[in-house]
Amino acid sequence: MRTTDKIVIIGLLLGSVWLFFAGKNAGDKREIPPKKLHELMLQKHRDISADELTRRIINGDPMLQIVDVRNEKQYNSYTLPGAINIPLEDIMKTDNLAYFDQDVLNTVIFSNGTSDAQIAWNILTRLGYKNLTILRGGLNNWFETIILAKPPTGPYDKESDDLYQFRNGARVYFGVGASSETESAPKPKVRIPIIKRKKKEVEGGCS
Amino acid sequence: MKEDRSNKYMNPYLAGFLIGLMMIAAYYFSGEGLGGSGAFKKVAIATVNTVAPGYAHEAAYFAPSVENGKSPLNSWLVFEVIGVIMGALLSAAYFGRLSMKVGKSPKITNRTRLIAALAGGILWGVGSQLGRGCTSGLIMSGMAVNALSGYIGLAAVFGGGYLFAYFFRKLWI
Amino acid sequence: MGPLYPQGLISEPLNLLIALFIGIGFGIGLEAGGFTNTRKLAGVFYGYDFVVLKVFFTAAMTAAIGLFLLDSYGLMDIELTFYPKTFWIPTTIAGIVMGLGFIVGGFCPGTSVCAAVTGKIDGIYFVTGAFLGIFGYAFTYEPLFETLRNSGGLGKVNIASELGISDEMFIFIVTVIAVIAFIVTDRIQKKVNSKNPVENIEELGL
Repeated sequence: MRTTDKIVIIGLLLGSVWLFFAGKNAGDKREIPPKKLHELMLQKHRDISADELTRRIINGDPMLQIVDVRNEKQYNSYTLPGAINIPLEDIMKTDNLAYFDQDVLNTVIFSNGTSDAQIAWNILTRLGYKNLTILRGGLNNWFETIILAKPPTGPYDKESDDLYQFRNGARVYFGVGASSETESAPKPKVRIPIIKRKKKEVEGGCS
Repeated sequence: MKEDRSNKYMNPYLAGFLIGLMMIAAYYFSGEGLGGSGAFKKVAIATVNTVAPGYAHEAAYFAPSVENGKSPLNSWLVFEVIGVIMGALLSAAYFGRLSMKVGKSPKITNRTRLIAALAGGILWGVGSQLGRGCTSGLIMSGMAVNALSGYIGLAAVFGGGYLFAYFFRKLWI
Repeated sequence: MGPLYPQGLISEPLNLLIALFIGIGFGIGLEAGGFTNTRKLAGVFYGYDFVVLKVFFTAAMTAAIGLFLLDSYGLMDIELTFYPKTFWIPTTIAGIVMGLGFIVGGFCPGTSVCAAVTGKIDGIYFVTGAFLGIFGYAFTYEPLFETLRNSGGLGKVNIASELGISDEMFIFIVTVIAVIAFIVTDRIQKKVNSKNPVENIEELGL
């Protein structure tokens, strides 16, 4: 092999390695193809129960990020502890997308019911963001289950009883009947948003 | 006496590097991938549009390229291929390869080669339209942006070639 | 930041002029690389001349590395360029047809044009054939080809995402594979040509 050949070949190898160290991040985000999205939508662990979320909040799970997609008014009136507010209409804003553009935290999305949270999950998953779940039954169900927890009926069953005790404890942790109180939520982490690009159709090619 | 360069070729890696740079430029300036068959298509459409514009505006194959009233020839790909022609002429002139001849294996006749060339062309004519491109537009440009279509094209074209190579070996070796 | 024309940063006439110059560079690369010589092109399938492999992969990987570097440094936004959609069914079928066309015809459209204008009569026949094929396809498009051509649509699929790895990892892997291929095929070529060289091998510049 001649010298020129070797120079080009080494150039290519070095160039391809350079890519890993180049400028901003690795991995351009591309939209997930529909089939993949469908698969992800059918997976079991894309939603999380009220009890499980409560457990994580109380345990101070450092990997937890809670996003409230309702509007600002509802958020200020009552929200889950530690939740940040990204109203559904604003979710595509560059600054807001930055909260999801990460692989480390586990994000739980919620709204009053589930449809808005589901919409958010859908669009964000489609954009390739990971570690997203929604709160099963939404805030309404959470309220019913935790805050208004009912003692188990029927014969004694340790599991049901434990659950009730847990929920009671949680209620105390969160403050009783909290609809008029605003939670003093720990400050959400501040992230430097990465400027994301606009997408536009371009005609061309050999087709 | 003038040196005969007709059997001398540019180092393939350098040639590849040059073409790669052209592809980068094409994307950087124009957002387009280099292409070949696309220009053929434009010429074909322009021809039909001149001869039978009514049909061209109706038929599904032609319509998208003529609807906005611009000539199909007024496109990036066509200008690019005109450039390709110019570049090829320049290079051939430099190397002394500008001559009328039939490129073929000495083991077959001109007639065989020309019929085969025609047949091969027809296959590429159909294939490039169905596949949305040829080696440069579909495969190389696809690979340059990590597109799945480029790699499928790569596997299919070269796979297909190797598949049939044995049966047509007499044409070449 | 690129791409310039899709963002309206350069005018259309300038864009077309640039197309011309890029084409000239492409044409020079093709002809100087020997792609007007049909025997050199077919050589990759028979082991006596791997120029196609070398030029092809060097070009594709140079472009990929260059584009993704530009993208990473914010000098260019790949998402604004023409990104091809994947239609795996027609592409696979068409690819095999084109592969056969390569073996039989010894050219692809771009190289055939280079050959035709530099006087290669087989190139002229190939170009003619290509137009015949295109017209044939065009006039039978609706009844025969339209459905097939639009089948198997997967949208704009990125192969690295499909495989679950990053773009740069994929490019790196392909580059390594290409380099290995360059070395291996060099040996194959030497061996093939020492044992049973093709006729008039000097025409191939080997």
